[in-house]
Amino acid sequence: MSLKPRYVNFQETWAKLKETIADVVALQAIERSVWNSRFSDVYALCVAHPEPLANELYDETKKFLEEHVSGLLERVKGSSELESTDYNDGLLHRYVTAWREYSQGLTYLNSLYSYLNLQHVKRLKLSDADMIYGSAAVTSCVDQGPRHLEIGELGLMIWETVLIVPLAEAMTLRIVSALNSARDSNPDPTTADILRTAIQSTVEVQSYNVRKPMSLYQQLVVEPFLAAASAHHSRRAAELLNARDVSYFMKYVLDGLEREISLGNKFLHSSSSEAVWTCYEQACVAAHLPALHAEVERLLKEACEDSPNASERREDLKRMYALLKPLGQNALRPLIEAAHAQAAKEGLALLAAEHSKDDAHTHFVHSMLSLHNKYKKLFAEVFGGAQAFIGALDKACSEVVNSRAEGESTARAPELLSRYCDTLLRRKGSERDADDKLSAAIVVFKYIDDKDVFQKHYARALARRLIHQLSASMEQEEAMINRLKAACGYEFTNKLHRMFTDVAVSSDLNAKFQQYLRENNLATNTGFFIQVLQAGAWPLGGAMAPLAPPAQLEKPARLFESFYRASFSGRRLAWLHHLCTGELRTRYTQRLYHINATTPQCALLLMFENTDAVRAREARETLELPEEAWSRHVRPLVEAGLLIAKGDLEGNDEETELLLNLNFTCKRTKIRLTCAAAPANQGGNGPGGAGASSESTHCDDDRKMYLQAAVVRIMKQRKILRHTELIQEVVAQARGSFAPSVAMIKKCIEALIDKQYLERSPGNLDTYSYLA
Amino acid sequence: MKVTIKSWTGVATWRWIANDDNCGICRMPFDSCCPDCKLPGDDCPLVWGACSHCFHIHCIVKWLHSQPQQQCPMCRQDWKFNNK
Ligand SMILES: [Zn+2]
Ligand SMILES: [Zn+2]
Ligand SMILES: [Zn+2]
Repeated sequence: MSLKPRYVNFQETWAKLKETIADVVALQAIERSVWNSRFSDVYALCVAHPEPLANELYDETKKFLEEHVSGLLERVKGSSELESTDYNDGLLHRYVTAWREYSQGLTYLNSLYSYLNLQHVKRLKLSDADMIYGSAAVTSCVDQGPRHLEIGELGLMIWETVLIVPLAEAMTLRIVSALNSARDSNPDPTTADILRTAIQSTVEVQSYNVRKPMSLYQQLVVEPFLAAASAHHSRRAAELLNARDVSYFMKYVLDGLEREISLGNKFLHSSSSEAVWTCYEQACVAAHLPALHAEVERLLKEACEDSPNASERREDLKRMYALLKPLGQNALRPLIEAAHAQAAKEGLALLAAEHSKDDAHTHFVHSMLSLHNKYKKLFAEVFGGAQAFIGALDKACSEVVNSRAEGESTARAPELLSRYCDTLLRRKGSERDADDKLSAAIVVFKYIDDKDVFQKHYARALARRLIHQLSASMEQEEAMINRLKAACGYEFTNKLHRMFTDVAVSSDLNAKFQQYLRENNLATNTGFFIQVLQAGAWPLGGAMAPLAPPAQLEKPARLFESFYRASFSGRRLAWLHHLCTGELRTRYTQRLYHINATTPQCALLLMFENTDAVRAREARETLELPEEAWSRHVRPLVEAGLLIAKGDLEGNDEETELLLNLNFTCKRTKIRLTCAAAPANQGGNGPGGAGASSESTHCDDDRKMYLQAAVVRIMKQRKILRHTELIQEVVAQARGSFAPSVAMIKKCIEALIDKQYLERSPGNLDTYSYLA
Repeated sequence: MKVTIKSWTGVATWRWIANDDNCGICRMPFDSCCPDCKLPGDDCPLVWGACSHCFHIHCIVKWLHSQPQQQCPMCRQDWKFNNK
């Protein structure tokens, strides 16, 4: 065979060729030699001299294929009733048989025509660049002249136009009805195979169509199927909701969803799975949202109860979440809101439950922790710990923590939590699980709005523990402060750290003082220990009552003062007598008692050295105590039974006498006399009411300072800012330590305008500008 | 002796003995620290000049660095640290 172009008789050659290609598309066996010579014929025609005959060959082949497919159409139709929905009437079966034969034959034909495809068709095809970036040619891609497809592609197009188009409706009817019944019962393997191949063919037949590869499949299969499915699902869902409860409905709908997805996976193209799913969700869930939402509250309530049904309700909620989640925020919102409301309601009920007043702090913290744990676990179980539900729980916890009992102006959370920590951190309250409990307390701490109030309570309790050496362990104290620091930052805890530093410095100072005494041959006569605290760093209250200490105590105090003056210039010491304590031993009683008492109490006891009775008024004047302090110090002595009061202690009664109880007995040999804190400066152990309100005014001042500083800082940076933006920024800055009211921020802005830090922008009163 | 004292634990506070309430340079009270510090006390001590004026040490050092002449900002006398 020569490759040189030569004259070719078209009719003669085509006749031979046509005979062979008829066998090829019908999948008849062809001898190798015949195949080879037909292959050469295609070449010869394409390069024929004087004129190439490729176009003629292309057109004749097309005509042949059209006739062939027409014949197949008749075969496929057979005697079937085209309008029938009976998918078992043989039409699909014949269609699939013809398709398998034809599509296989086409691939052989395409390779027989390799040369034509390569030389004549490719040139007409679009370059990739044209496809991607678009050009005038792109829009006319499909109909860009008669010979733009390879022979195999041409054959597919002919199959579509000649065979599928006339059968389209008949095929759709059968495919849809076959899919419908496949939903309820699995078809036998042959039927399933036919159905799958028929559907698949609508995709493959358009494989050459780059612009809309799935349009036939969409139109013939997907759209009619989804329309039918949607009607079917809607009907079923409505029936079901009428007949059964929501629990059953959700179970059924979820099972159905699974079935529907697997139906789609089995028979449809993978690109349709989302549409199948959406169609189902819309018909079964989205259309019935109000009915589902109506049950949300009840399901949540029952799921949280201690009842045998609870676990079933949790399963219901899992299903509810699975159904609503894909529909987005609007569908989920009622569930989220109900979850929030349920947690908040239970939290408030827990707090309101009966408990002893002395245990209010434990009751509060344990209630909050059990609420938090319960719902965290529940939401993790039923909602997969989704962020929206964690947020709902946070919101509920924060509402409950910061709730106020009727008639209270501020939430008690800061005080109660600090008391809880105090109990755990004290030696007496030391428990093995104290560390775990303190860690858990941070969970509650994070929800507190008035963190600054908490800080004040905590600082005061810490000061008491440090000064009276009541802490269970210093490691535990520091660990707790580090937890607070991790939650709230350095600013929040730096005063607390400062107290620790003072304690460390003090122990150093005591060692140096003892050395000083040795070097100067001095002695204090009694055991002596001192804590020197920096004024301002400790929440100790202000004025110090003057006191003439008993002679036994005056000496060591004076010695220390002179030591201190020599060591630190420019500093003045002031004694906090109400915090100084002495260790006494009784010798007038049958048993020996160790008494721990404040300095004034020690002084008072020492007055009985030479007598058993002292006039109250004289004692008070000797101690130089004001009336109020006098009563705070003397009461515990009387209450413990060490002294007996004859007459009115508080009044100015000349006759009131204090008698030493010579018959004093007590079970314990160690007695610790307390002294109530001064009411004005320290809420401390005092009754809640007065302490709390002075606390809140104290905090108000600090807050105003904080807010003014924040406003100045922000304005200094921004220069000009609108009112609402300024408020937002201030709120954001303050959030870590308290939730400021807008009214208070406004007052602070006014104050700064008066002080000429800011002014309202002329002509735009809604805007502030910073005055440097 | 009816009662004997075994030991005593004293608690005292200390503050600066200054001739004014506020630092003449930064205007902050001596009970709190200078604007560059976070904590008052040993971390931000006071110093006295020979003229008897007193400042946060950080404030007066900064001031002296910024001035051609080493003078007390209050009384314009030559500044000398007084280590009494
Ligand atoms: Zn200063
Ligand atoms: Zn400083
Ligand atoms: Zn001066």
